[in-house]
Amino acid sequence: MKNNPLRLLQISALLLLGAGFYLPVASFLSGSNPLHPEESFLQGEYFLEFLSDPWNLRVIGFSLFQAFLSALLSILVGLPGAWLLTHYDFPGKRWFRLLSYLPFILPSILVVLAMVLFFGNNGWINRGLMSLFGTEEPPVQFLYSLSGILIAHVFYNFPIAMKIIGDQWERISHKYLQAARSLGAGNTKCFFKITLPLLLPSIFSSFVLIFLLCMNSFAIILVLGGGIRYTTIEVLIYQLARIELDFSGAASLAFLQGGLSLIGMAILLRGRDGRVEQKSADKKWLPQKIRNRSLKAWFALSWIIIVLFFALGPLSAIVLDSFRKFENGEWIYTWYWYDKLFTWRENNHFLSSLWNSLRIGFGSALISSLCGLGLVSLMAYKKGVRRRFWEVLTLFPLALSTVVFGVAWFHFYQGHLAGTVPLIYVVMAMHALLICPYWIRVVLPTLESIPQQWHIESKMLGKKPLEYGLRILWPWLRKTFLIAFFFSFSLSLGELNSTMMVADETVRTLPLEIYGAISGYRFSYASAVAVILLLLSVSTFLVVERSVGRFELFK
Amino acid sequence: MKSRKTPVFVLMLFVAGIYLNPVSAAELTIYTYDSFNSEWGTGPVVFKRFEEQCSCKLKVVSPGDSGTVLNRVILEKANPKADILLGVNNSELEKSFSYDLWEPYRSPLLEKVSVDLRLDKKNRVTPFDYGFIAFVYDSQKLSNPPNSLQDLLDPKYKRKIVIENPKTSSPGLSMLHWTIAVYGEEGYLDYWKKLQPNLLSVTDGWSAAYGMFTKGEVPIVLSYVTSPAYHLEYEKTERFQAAVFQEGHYRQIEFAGILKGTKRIKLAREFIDFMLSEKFQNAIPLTNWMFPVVQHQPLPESFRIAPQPKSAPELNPARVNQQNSKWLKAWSRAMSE
Repeated sequence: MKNNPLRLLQISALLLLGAGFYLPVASFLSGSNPLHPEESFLQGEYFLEFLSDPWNLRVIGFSLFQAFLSALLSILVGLPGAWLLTHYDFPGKRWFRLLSYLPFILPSILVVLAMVLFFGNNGWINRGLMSLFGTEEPPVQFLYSLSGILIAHVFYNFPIAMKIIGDQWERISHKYLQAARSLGAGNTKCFFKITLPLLLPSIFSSFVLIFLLCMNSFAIILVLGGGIRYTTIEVLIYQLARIELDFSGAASLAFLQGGLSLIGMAILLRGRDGRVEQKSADKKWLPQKIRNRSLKAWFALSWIIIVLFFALGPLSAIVLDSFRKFENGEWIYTWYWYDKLFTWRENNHFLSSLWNSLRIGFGSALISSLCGLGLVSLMAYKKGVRRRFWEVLTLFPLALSTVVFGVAWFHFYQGHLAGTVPLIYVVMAMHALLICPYWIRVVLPTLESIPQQWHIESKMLGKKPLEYGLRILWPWLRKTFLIAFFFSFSLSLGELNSTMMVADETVRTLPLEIYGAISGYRFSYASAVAVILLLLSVSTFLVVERSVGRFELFK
Repeated sequence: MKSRKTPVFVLMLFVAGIYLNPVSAAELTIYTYDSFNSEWGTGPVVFKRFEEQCSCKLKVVSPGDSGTVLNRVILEKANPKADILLGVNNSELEKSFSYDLWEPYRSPLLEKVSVDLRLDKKNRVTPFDYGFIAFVYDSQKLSNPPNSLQDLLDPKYKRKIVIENPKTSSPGLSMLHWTIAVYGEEGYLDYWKKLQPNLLSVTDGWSAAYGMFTKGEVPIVLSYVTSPAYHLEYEKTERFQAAVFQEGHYRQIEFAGILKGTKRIKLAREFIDFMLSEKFQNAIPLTNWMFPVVQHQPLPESFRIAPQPKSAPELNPARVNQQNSKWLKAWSRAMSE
């Protein structure tokens, strides 16, 4: 094991997880309440008291219910997308892929405002329909109710399902399907008996990720749910931690929520044997199939149109908003906000946060790639309990409410870290912790599609791990690595909560700038910053894609 | 071999350089809430002025809303990093007292501050601005604005109002206290139940609510009496107006104070004095959109559409601290029935 770079990565990944997450959380729990030193943190009575109130049980029930439903719907929308991307090519396919990820980068305040601008009672759709039919009442009214929450969550999360399931689908061998067909199985039977069971691991995997994200969702639930009837555990945690300053209560609830999510994960994440191999089936050219009046192709086309409508509509509302300014009582269209962004002035927070966002994004994508690699090498090919252990270990940082994680983290490190480590590294490490689960989910299926024998054979042939890695793994995984890097970079660009927890002016990032502008009434300026954020992500994608095409090591 | 290593070394130096931050020798550390120190906020203007005056260096940390900042100070109590906490409002005040965070100081300039704003007789904290929450409306859509809390219950406002959630935002919490001050503990839940059909949404914070309002989603929003002044100052429009209510308006007062354990007490006191001086107070209206506690000069012209309410129903801060979680609990339950 000497000189094994992989071992080094594994150790540093575990160190990051341990020191960055588990240690602070454990010390927080075992320690005493900083505010009432005579009391310990987690109090049994608190749990019992909380759980004995039927109203609270309803809140828990609703939190689980909406997260479950959102994850389910995201998968129902993402599944056809995965099918489409693995079976058809069409003009603008890569742009389509890219666009569907974009909502993910936006801070939730803008997602909410984008939905309102587009679907709201006075939004584009309703104004259009009202002038078309000459009605007074807005015809489309699904916001401010449960369906508002669900649609926003699906709009946000279906690309995760599409990506993860699509990657798996790409590798289902054609041989199985051909064999089944030759035995007389129809398309439907083939799908339910062969394809679906093979896709299940990726479906569960994306389900868990989306479920966790929706459990912790906050602004969308309050604003688009109408705010009163729908309360979730996260809202109660926020209320206790921020308004009532009751850390003990907040921590208890956060662990209740994390625990519930964990149980769900443990049930779903059984290390299923995927039995997949690389498939090289050709993709069909969608426009031609449409001309041939293939029913499936028409279905594919309508799916694309609907998704573009839901994903692009609100996004374009933000873009348009960034070009308008309210003056003398009416909206005028102008470059004003962009001009303001890029004008050099002494106190231009935008340019400095742009620079911070870039370097934090780059750094944390790098860290999460390295740590992800270490963790992936620990998880790959494992089955059963061991696999589940690693899955849960890496996912737990996503499951615990960031409000409480921030408090725990701060409590543990105050006095130790400040002043010795520049804050920017701290922020990068925090981002990396939260990004790593996504990185792993993007890379793991591709890695596991490499036959395990290769690893064993190369070892027997006495190949050095580094050489094996560069000559065999890199060419195989290159594309996936670069995509995962881009994904991590974009996620870091949009991250807000953990940054907020430790931020001072040396680490102000673009999402913080967006919030700052909005709290100073500059809503359109905030939209312009968001457009820059989106452009950054798009251009990184293009650079990554270029390098996938050109960057050939050891060919 | 050597030729291979050199570029790697240079690259590493370069990468390290990207992430190096100049370490500044700050002489006074101030914690404040994020919007105070945003590019558009008061912070950049007044902190620079103070640095010029004291010829010292400030370190400003603004990690989130006022609740978050207060959290951080409480958690750091054993090992304080900040000398001054700027931005605790009257709802949070009593909480901060119960944690014994402050080093009392009475600024000589406090005499100039109106007595009803000096809530703390022990001078642990000093007020620096105040404002009133109010319902702001779009006069193009509403020719006949509501003129009392009671008016808001009119069915003609069905799903036309957006407010903030008392459980997650400070204007929302003030609205809850406003109704308690006006209708008493017996009556406030009744009022809210009647108000509910008129609320399109109850948002997590001011940003989402006011965004929905300016984007035309609703004609009425819970904000501040000073909000219309922003639109007059920067958008040259009087279209948005604050509705003046007969019951009076709930007041938010913001305070700052010196934190226990500071090693720079002299400089910290100098800052509190500076805070009440004209260099700080004059910047408040057009950057923090609140009223200054000491009026060194007339208010800006645009403040003519920010009405100063005649009365301000109030709750005793000690009672707020004691009852708050009970009220919030009762409110959530009543509203979800």
